Amino acid sequence: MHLSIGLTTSISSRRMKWIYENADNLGLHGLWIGEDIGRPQEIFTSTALLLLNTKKVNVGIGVTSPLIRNITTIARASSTISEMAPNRFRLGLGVGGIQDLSSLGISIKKPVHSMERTVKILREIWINQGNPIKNDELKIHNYNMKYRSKQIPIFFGVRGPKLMTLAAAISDGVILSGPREFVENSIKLIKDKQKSLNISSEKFHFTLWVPTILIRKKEDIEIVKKTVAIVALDTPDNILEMSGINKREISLIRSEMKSHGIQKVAENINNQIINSLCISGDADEICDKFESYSSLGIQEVVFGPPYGKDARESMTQIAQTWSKKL
Amino acid sequence: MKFGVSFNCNDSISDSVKKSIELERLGLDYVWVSDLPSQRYAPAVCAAIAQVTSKIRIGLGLISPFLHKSQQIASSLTTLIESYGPRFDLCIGPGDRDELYKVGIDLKDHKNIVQSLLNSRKEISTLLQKRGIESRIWLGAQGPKLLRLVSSFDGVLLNYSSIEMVKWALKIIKEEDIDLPISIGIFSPSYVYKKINPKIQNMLHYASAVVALGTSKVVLKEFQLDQDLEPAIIEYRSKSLDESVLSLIPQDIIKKFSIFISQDEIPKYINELKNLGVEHVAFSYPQGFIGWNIAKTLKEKGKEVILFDIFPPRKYQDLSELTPEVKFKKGDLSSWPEVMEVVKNYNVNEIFHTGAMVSEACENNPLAAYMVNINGTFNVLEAANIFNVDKLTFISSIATCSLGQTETITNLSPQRPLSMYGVSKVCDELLGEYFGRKYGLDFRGVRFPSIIGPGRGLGGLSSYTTLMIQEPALNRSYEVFVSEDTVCPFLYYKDAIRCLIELHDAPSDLLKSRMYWIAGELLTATEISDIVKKTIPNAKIFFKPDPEKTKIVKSWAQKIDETEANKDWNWKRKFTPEQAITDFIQEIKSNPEIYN
Repeated sequence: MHLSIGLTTSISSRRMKWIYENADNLGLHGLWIGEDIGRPQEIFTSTALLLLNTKKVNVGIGVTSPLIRNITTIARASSTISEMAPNRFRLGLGVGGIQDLSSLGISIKKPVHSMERTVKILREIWINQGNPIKNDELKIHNYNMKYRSKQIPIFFGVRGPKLMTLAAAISDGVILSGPREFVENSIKLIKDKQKSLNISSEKFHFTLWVPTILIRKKEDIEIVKKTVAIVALDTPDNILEMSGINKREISLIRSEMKSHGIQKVAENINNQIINSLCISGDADEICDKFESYSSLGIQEVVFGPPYGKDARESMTQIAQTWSKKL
Repeated sequence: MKFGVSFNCNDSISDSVKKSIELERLGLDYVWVSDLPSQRYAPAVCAAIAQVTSKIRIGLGLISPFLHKSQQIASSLTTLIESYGPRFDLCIGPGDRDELYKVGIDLKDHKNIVQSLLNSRKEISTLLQKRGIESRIWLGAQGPKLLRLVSSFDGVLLNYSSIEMVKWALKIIKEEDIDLPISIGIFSPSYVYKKINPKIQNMLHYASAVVALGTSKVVLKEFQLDQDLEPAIIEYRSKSLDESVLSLIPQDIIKKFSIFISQDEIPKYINELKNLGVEHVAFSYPQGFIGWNIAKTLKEKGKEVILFDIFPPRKYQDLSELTPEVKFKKGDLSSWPEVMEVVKNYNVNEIFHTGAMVSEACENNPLAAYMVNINGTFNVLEAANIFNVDKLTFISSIATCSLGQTETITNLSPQRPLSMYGVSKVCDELLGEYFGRKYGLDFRGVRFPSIIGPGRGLGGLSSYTTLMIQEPALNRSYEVFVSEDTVCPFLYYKDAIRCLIELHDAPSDLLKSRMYWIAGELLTATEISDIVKKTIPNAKIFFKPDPEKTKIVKSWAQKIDETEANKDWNWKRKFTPEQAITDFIQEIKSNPEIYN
């Protein structure tokens, strides 16, 4: 099992710099960067920075939505950054949040079809066998990328069962995020699907990325509660129910959020919700919790954000504790 | 004038990075990285370039807001500037219609392209301002509608190269009554060649054809190119750009959309652009010698200059007044390791070989004269040859004439000098021509008469021509060591410098000779004295002729035929004797602390 660090495009350039300057020395397996739509940093340019400034760690996008860019841009941006550091880049795709997409005037229609089409076209572009690519839906006419690219591992960051089974069939891995029960069910679903399709799951990669916070001070508990409140609001009911979280508690959280804001909601977050939706504790506890996912089939765990009050110290402590345990 | 090279990302990342390092080393101002739908992703390529460079400005663009959302463009710029500092510019424009169509973006669907671009510019600016990011935003433009938007941008890059078209664009821009400091630039497929490589020429034709075929109808009509280009446009609608389409495009159209020019001709073209008000030239794919020679030929001010001299700069040669690119390296011409080292370590591309012992010193120490003037020149030639120096311009002298030459000197006149200085210079000329024949070194030179100018050293028998002017200008008396009727042809230093540079820049194939005679003003010592006294009535100039020195000076040639220089590279003196002497005196009087 490997340890990686996660960040998003909301990160400050200063913190991103600290991460890429220390990633190799911390002995990390990888870095995953998720796209927060509309935030200051651009996902592909940031990924380029992470790759240019590290030598050993894998760097993955986890995830970007294929609906917010022209598919040929995703193809060539991925192949460009992959060229900078061959075999270290992984592309994560996810449909994207409804609210984020609607803010850009994009409605989600047929997400399974969109994801399937995206993967098919990306791979066709990367293979670049000289045959022009056409797709009427996306109005692509006789397109060819004018340089060669390697195939890039594609990860899915998805939640619904249909998308999960699609991931089993066509992706190289998944980034799972949710309560333990959801993770367990998803792994089972994928493995069963692969079995039915006669696909070997040996090379398929399971990554776990849930909010993680190293608790060192009292203020860290505040961060935990706020983070969990936000995650709870963003998690579909069926997934919350999987972990036994009471439906009433969730609707209470949502209504409190509307009327009183995050501070009030955080006060009502109980331990059960915290333990379901986030991994927190001291460094040993967090590493033990990570390790416990190994038995489910998780091969890589991602620490952060929000990390804790002192993000740098938290990342360093977790990485050191992890390497000692190994 | 700022110079840049534009990459369209068809090169591998590693090649783009290597080229950028070299362009920065050569002192170019910009690397532009175009974002085309079929090529590498420009913001990531910009990051790779920024990673290995520190000074050169990096232009993200041309990038199309029809392909990328304004927010994504602004975020790319934010990430780059926050990580690598404020050395990024942005250029937005509609982009290549055909390439965009292939990826599902039909510009015909956009009812108001101009307004959309303007909106994007505003959105990007607003986002950058909110984030405290500063960046210049350029507009990539061709047609009149876009040109009228220029006032909303920090600069415009025109996508054509013909002077006629640039003039037309500038006229439209000026009609908009813009009083903001807008930068005007051009970017165009370019091939600046020394010898034409047909493969690169063909690549250039393809690149120019893409631009020509994507040019708006209005522009084509304005220049009456529409009908000539129509067969190619029709053919291109149904297929990709190939030889058959290319063959339908007339060569003169190709030329309008590309810079296809020899290294020797490019300064003239750049001057024409400069005179029009163009301040920025970005050479786009394929660039020929990968841009290196462009840099060498064009970086007039940005050129790194190494002064190699045994003496440190004198007080009137204050290096701090020059650009930071001027460096001084102390060294001895007669020492092969020192000459070799300076040429090698500074990657010298071009040499002005002006160093020598002057005539009087040569007579006093012929061995030293041999070591410095002959052996030293051999060292310079040898280093130039070994380290592939492109061009070497040499100064010879009137002293190479045979003594007693009373007839007009031409290139056919015998050179049998008696002085050690003259002997050494004849030898140098022959050595230079030999290196040209044997190794292909581009050697060229002039035979100057006496040079007059402020700060000239006291050595040399012709020094009286300078000192008769300089000393009275400093309120000092001067004793002339030749008789009143002695004539020594002289050239004012400002003309001499221009002469050297013009010869250096002259196209090689125009030079029918390797050494050229340059004539001087023929004034007696009395005539010089009279002109000085017109400006400085109380000038104390006395004559105390030394018969020996007078005899030597009088034996030098006087009438010189410089017709060949006039014909081959258009050489012409600008200063009359009166203008030269007056200018000289003014220079001394304006800076007495330097020359005193």
